Parts: sequence; C-alpha cells; structure tokens
Amino acid sequence: MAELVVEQLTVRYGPAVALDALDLSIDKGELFVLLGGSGSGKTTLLRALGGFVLASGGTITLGGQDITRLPPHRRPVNTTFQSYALFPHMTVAENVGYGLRRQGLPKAEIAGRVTELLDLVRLRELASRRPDALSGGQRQRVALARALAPRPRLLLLDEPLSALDRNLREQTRQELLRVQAETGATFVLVTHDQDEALAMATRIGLLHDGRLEQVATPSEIYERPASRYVAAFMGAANILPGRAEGGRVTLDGIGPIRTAPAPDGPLHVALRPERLSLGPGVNRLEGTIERSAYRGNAIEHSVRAGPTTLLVATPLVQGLGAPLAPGSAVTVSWPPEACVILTR
Amino acid sequence: MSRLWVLAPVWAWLLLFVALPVLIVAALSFSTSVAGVPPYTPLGVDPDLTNYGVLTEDGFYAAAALKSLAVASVASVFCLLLGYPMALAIARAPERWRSLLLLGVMLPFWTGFLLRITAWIGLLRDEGWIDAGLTALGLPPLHLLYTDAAMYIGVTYAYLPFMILPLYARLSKRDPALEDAAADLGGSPWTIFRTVTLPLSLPGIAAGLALVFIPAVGEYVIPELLGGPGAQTIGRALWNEFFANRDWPMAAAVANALLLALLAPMILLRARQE
Repeated sequence: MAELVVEQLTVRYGPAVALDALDLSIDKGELFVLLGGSGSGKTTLLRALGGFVLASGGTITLGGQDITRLPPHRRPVNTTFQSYALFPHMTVAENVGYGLRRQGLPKAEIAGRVTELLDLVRLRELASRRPDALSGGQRQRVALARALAPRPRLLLLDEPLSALDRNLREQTRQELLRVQAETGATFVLVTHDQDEALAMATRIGLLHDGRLEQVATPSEIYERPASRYVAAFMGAANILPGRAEGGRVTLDGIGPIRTAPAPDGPLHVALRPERLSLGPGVNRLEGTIERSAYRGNAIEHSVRAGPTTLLVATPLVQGLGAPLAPGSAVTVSWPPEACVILTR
Repeated sequence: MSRLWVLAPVWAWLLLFVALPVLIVAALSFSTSVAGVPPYTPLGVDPDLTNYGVLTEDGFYAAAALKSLAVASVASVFCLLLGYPMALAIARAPERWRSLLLLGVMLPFWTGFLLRITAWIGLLRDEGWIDAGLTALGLPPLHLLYTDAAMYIGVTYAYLPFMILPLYARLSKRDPALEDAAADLGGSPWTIFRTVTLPLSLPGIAAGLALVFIPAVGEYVIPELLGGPGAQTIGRALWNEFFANRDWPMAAAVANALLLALLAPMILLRARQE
C-alpha cells in the first residue's frame, strides 16, 4: 500500500494556479524526486506536503491518515530547507534535538537520539559548535539530522545540494543515499537538476505548469519520455517534427526514416546527441559542420542538415579526437532504436 | 592623514558639545553657591565636596533617585510589553504596509512634545474624556491626573516609539524560514515564539530598553505635568535646585550623580563582555 497518496491536489495563489488537480502516489522507502524548472510548482507541492501552503482542493493522505488540513507542527513530516534554516542561537546538538524536545521526550532519551543522529551524519565531534562555525556541507548534514531526529514518516528535501560546490555535491549525494538506505525513511526530494534526479531517484516526477508530465523510473523517463517537454528537459537536444502513415515515419523536410512502428498521425522524433554518430549508418543525413566544440568527455558538433540543425556528441572514449573545421561535409547517422517517438 | 581630516569635525563636535559641558558641570559641582552673577564661586578655585556630602546625607536625593529608577523601570517594561507585539506585527505585515505603519509610529514626533503631554492632561483630568466616558457608561471615574498612574501612562506613551523602532529593525531582519523550520519540527505558534523569535530578537530588546530607560530616568516634564506632588523624581529635584533654589553647584552635583549612576552599569557591562 502506498505511503503517500496525493489526490486532485490544487493550490491557487489568487487567480494563479500553482498546482492543478495533481495525483501522485509514493511507496514506503522510496526516494522520490520532484523535478522541474522554476515556476513548475515543485516548491509549492513540497510546501503543500509540509503544510506551509494550504490546498485549495484535493487531499493528501500519509500512512492512511488524511493530513490535508493539518498545520505543519501536527504533521509527521519534516523538511530540510534550501537555506538549511538552522537555528543560529543553538548548538548543533540543540538544533538536532529541537524536534525531540517538542515531543516532550525525557532528557536522557533526547541526548541518546541526538548522538545517534550525529553519528549517522558523522558530525559527533561538532555537537557543541554553532551553525555559523560550520561549512556548507556540514550545515546540510545538521539540517538532515535535525529533520530525521523525530522519525518522520516522510522527509522532504528542498534542493538539498544546490548550495554546495561540485565536489561536495557528489559527496553529499552519496551521503544522502547512504542515510536513506540506513533509515529506510520515505524521501521526497525537489531539484531542478536532471543529473541529480537520475543519479538518486527510485522514481522521478517531472512537473510542468503545476501538472505532472510524467512519473517514471530514471531509465524510463530518460529512454521513453512521455512528451516533447519531458524529452527536452531530460536533455534530448534534437526534436524533429514529422508524421507516420502505415506505421512508417517521415520527417518534415528530410524524408522517410527507419524507426520502430509508430501510430499514424503527426508526431515528433527525439534524438539524443550521444546516440548520433558521424559516418555511415541505417538512417543518414548529409550536412555541414557549423560549430564544433571540445567538451572533455566528448566533442559536440552542430551540424546543418537540410531544414534543421542537429547536435551530435562524439564520445571521447580513448581521449582521442579533435573538433572539426566549420564547413566540413559530414554524414550524420543513427540506428532505428535511437528514435524516440513522441505523440504529444 | 585624510582620514584625520574627515574625523576632525566629529572630534571638534564631541569636544565642544560633549566633553566641555561635562567638564564645566563637573567643575561647577565642586564650587559653592553665592548670591550674584554668576551664582557660584569661581570654577576650579578652592574646590570642595560639600555638595556631594549633602547629596549622600539628605535622604531626599536618594529617594528621588530610587523613584526615578522605579519610574524608568516600570515604563521600560510597559514599553516592551506594548511595543513588542506592535513591532512584530509591523515586521510581519505585507511589505507595502510596513512603511505606512512605521510612519504611524513616528507620527507623534510631528507635533511638539509639550503639546502632546498637555493633551494627556485633557484626557486624564476629572472632566476629561476618560472619566467622562466611564461616567457615561455608568462606571466610577478613575481620577487619574496627578497620580503615579498618570505619570506611568505619560512616560510609556512618550517613549514607546524608542522601543518599537529598534525592535522592528531587529524583527524585520529575521529569517521566516527559521520559523517555518520550527513549525516543521513540531513547534506550536507559541513555542516558536518562545524558542526562536524571542531569543533571536534579544539584541533589539536590549537596544529598546536602553533607549527608553536612560532618558526616562532623567525625565522631568512628564512627572511635573502629569504626576502627583509625591512623585519627586531626580529630574524634578535637579530642576528645583537649578531654578527654584538657584543653587547651580548643587544642581550640577545632582546631574553628575545621575550621569555616573547611568554610565557605571554600562561601563561594567562593557568590561565584562570584553
């Protein structure tokens, strides 16, 4: 049975609709990632789950209990805030113990649980420090320990890695996954970073204009995007219009190509830059190089081909290769299975 | 070098209008009252401690000092209790309302201080609005004017903005995410106030208390106009020495004692912090 069930959830700010009759179901122990651009409604959904935004309609059920109308302090839901929101006038240990003190637990029990959590996030030796004496990564871990301390049914994480620099982000990501595995808690994480979502999620919900465009596992959402928006958001740079008749696809201004059978009618074909190659193949297009850029792990070519410009990424598997001169004539090719058929 | 020139006017100002008057008053307090112009023996010639002797021996001055401290303390507490909710409400109001509300707090400064205190006489006197209103409602009148209550009302009213402004300055800078976090972790609204909002606003409370307490101790006009004859504050004692008794050296001694009484705790506090 699903741990968190959101049904027809609607949130309006005045005339603006931030969440539009949203349905979502999350299982116990999942690390569910809400992915979306700014204004997609992902923060609103998180705040609605936390109780900071009241639903204009619909219900939120957590562990069988209807929490739609409960204020934040009555919900078995805790949040790590984007700014961490650590209490500056309390030590690390006092911060972590805040939620436990609100439950009125005996002092000794609180102290034990605080130590347990500081061990979990490896901050035991910093227990008596104040937040302003911590680094960004340490603050993030304190926020995590503080939110986990009262054993919430659901942990919400608002852009937990966005304030960290690149190296620390990878490390903290591993840390989050480890903590989630050790506690078995249900996590809902909000991010705008698709790499982060792919690397962490058990499932991803992609939000767009207050609606869920697609809910799927990372590989599914990447390989079989449900719409043009999802394909573009997940990094498919080439999306070409066309139509299908008798199961065969013809691209506008390019001609027939070989794909898996497609339903008749207008459609789009998404092609990932890394699935295109320069050289002969089943589907091919003649073109000329417009720009060619070295990207470390790949070389990215912009190829002018007929009515369109294709982005082609040639992976540098052995560290070889060089950008091509603009104007060079090339053949772009791809196998049928590289074509992602999008009917909406 | 150029920094010295920038600071020169500041130092000149402090020297002329702070250090020099303090020195003159200090010297004055060691001279003796005589009939004539000026009404004291030449400054710095034959100084003696007679005035300070009177100050310590005559219980009148100690009683006046205690009364002043009591008035200032009570008024500070009233200002805090009234001012804190107001400052918090302004800090929590929508952005576009805030400057209007702050303007409301400062609006009384647009009229003269004496005029506003005199207006309170009109409200508090026996035929005034308060008692007239109570009588109209069939309730007994309070006869507030020329009582300690009237004095406390007046001092609280006059100094309330000095409490609200530093509190607002502090509260408007608070991070709403901290209150969200406290609610998220199970804090009820009152618990959030007690454990997060209030402790983080302590510097604002300290600033507000200092801004109300220090001038309220030396307050002369309000006890004189609204208080009863028994409300002999140190400010009134000073005024009487100066204008009624024409004993300038004694008045200077009272002023010095007051200054020391207010400065000493601050200096001690500073020393302890460092």
